[in-house]
Amino acid sequence: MNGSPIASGAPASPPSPEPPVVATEHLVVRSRERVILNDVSLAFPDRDVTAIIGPSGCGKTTFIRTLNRMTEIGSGLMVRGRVLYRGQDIYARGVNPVIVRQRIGMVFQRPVVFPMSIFENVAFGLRINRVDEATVERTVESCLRRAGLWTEIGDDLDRSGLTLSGGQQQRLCIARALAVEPRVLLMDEPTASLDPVAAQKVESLLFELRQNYAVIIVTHNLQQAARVATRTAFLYEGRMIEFDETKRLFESPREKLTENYVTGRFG
Amino acid sequence: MREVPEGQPIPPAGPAPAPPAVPFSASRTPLVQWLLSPIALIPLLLVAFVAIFLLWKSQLVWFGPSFFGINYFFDPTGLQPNQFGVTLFVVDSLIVALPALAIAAGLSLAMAVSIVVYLPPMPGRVLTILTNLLAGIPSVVYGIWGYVVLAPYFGSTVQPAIFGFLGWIPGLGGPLSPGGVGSLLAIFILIFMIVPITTAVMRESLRSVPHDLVEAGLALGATQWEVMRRIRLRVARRGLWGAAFLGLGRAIGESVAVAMVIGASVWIPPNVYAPSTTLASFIFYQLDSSFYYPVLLQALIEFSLVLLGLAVLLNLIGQRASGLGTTVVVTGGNGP
Repeated sequence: MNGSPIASGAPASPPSPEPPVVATEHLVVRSRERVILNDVSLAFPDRDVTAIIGPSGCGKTTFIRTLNRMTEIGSGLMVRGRVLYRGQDIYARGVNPVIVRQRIGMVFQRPVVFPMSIFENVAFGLRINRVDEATVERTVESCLRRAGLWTEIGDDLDRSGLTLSGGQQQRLCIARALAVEPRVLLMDEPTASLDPVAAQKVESLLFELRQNYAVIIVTHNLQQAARVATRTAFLYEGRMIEFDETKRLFESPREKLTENYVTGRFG
Repeated sequence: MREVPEGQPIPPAGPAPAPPAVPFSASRTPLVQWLLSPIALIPLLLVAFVAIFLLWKSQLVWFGPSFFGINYFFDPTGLQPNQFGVTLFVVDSLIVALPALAIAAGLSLAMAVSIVVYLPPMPGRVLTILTNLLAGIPSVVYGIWGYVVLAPYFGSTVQPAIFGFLGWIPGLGGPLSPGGVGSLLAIFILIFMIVPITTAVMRESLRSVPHDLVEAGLALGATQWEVMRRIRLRVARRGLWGAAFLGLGRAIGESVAVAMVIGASVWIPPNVYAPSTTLASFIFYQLDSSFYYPVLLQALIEFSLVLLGLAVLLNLIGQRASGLGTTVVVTGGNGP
């Protein structure tokens, strides 16, 4: 990859009219034993879906967790380089990770529903910010609508969130993440634990979400990346190999490694 | 395929033939399991054995309405009828055990929260070792420390201080107990004896909260404290109650240390400073005189049965709630 224009160090991004909402610059993440991410520079546009693909263990989950400082929770990982949110380094001294995570929300691979009612699940982030009750009710409804859940469960919000199906739980988690009004939504394999029908619903939700949010989705499902993402980045062994328009990355990749991966020769 | 010379027997090819398959019906239960399984019954047998033995020895002579009454009166001369009401002692036990538990539970919760969330691993481990160490101190050592060192200090300083600041609260008003022995000192000693068990159980309950839930909370921009308050404490609620019941069981059952510092007055104490008694400590310090009075011995054995029942009950509730010995699984997600 040396010598290729995209690995030259500057935030690699196809030309985009808007400045990126999130960008990494020379990001290096290491554990005690090894380097997990090596010099990754990427820029993510606002109001769009960007996919991160790569074989298992390539560092894509670590990468996405670095973007809202989830890496530092009990992992002992060391982060070097910069992660910029609207030009501001979120790892800079004095930046409160709690605020970072309110701006940059996250949805996990397995739906993680809190053992409380559907309403209180969505209201969780609002309650910790001491939002008044009328606003909480309004926001819960609008977030459930945006997550496509309102028509299914809107009349039964006092039920425990744990009684929902897996797909509904994942959309509940998305609604919950939206309630704190993030600009960016990180999704770590959000459909990996769902059945195809539920996965399809979450996927179609992404098309709605991208009109208002920057969505960064990690997936090992190449078809999913091809379906939902405008741009796709390919990570391999901790390095960013190629970042391009999804169509071009899949149809005419510049790097041999990318080609081998997207054509299913490994991974 | 390899070539085989003509006329020679064909050597077996490939790996050695598999051993004969075990029929499905064959028992594969190892002998060890047969030998060890009955061992699991030993605790149950022990409890049953103790209970049956006590029942047989006491013959429940005093068992009846007056046994569950509040009056205790023992006349060694036998001129007046004895009244061995156990309720007085249960009430006295609770007067000492409940405040001790309340304070110990608060302390333990604070320690468990800091060990699980706030302290770095090393200081957390040191704090854990130190609290466990408290459990290893023989109770008679607590008792002698309380009697010799603490009691004078309680009489001269602690009691007047508490009375001065909180004397308006019912039960904390005077009169004081100048020697220092009394319920207050027993409460203080018991706190040391309860804290190890409640801290250990609370710590493990908080630890067993799935990491996923904690992460999801943090990812929503909650602080560790908010996650603790709104998620961890909520999910671990049963375990925390279990810890409290185990602690209460321990407080009610403690005899020696309490007997040494409580002052042995058989009555409902007018306030927390006054000498008092507890069911367990009463059995302990009346034992020697009971050898002269078989009647009293029988009453004490019946008291022991009540104490045994209370302890077993509190322990069962505590263990069940805290999930000790069972796996507590709390997860989100129940399939697609």
